[in-house]
Amino acid sequence: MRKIVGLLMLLAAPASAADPPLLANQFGELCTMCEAALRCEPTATGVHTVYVFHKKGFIGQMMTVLDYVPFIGPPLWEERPVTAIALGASPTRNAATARLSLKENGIEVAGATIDRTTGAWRTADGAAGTCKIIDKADVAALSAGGSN
Amino acid sequence: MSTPFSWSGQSFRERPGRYLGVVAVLAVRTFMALFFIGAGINKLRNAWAWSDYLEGVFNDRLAELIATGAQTYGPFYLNSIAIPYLKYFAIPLYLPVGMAVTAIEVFAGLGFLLGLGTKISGWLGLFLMANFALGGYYDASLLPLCAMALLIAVTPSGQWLGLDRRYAQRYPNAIWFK
Repeated sequence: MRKIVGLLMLLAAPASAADPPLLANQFGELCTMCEAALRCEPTATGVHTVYVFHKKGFIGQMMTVLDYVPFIGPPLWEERPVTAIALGASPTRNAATARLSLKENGIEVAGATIDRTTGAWRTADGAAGTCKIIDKADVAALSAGGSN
Repeated sequence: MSTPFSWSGQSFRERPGRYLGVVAVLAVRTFMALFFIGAGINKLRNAWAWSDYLEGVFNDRLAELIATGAQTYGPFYLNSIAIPYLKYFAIPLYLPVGMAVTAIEVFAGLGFLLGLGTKISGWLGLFLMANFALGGYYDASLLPLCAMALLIAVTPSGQWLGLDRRYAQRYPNAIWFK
């Protein structure tokens, strides 16, 4: 089961050219049972956002059976539940569904897009920023502590 | 005792439910053949059987289990099965484990495809799934995989379509072709 591999790989520094894409394990995708978090910071002023990617849903886990079948193979994209935490003066949490493209190395979540190779972030209203992987253990402290 | 299955229009007319059931089981077997062969080829590509690749995979999983297990199981997390399974069995023996997993996937896949040693291949598949679960590699995908492997293990699908039928006639006492 290639899907279930260590989270430790995900807890790395920001992506560089030599690193694997964001939210990828050694098999090229975030494993079904893994959880991970990204912190996205705007280039100019704006609200920092943390995206917490959760385990795949039950049906999504079962569908990974198809990943190994010749002529079907891994999908070009996958979906998984995500919580978007806007770190304003009073942090807000929104549940959403993230769409991770395995071919184009992009993530679409709540109108925003993230480049999995460079970490470039474009918000729903067009602002630019950068995302990096953070330890999921830090997420609770971030959201409880208010803005960055 | 039920009559042997035959691929004929008469067989379908007499017992259409059985006929369709046989076709369904064979469809499942074909799917499992593709799945196992695909997974086996993937492991051959990743050199599971002759490199330290699998050791890294196991170590990553062990670290993750310890990290999350502390939250999940509290002070008793070390009592979980997966951690000692990885620590004292899978990691020290990663090379033979990698060889066994690769071999079982390839041979069980070929067994499903050819209908040769089909039931035993089904039990081998189940054995493999059980060990994945014991090693902490569990998710919902194991449920349909186990159900399909069990279906193949308990039905004589190799007698319906496959080489088992021929070899069972030649070697009627051999358990491999039942």
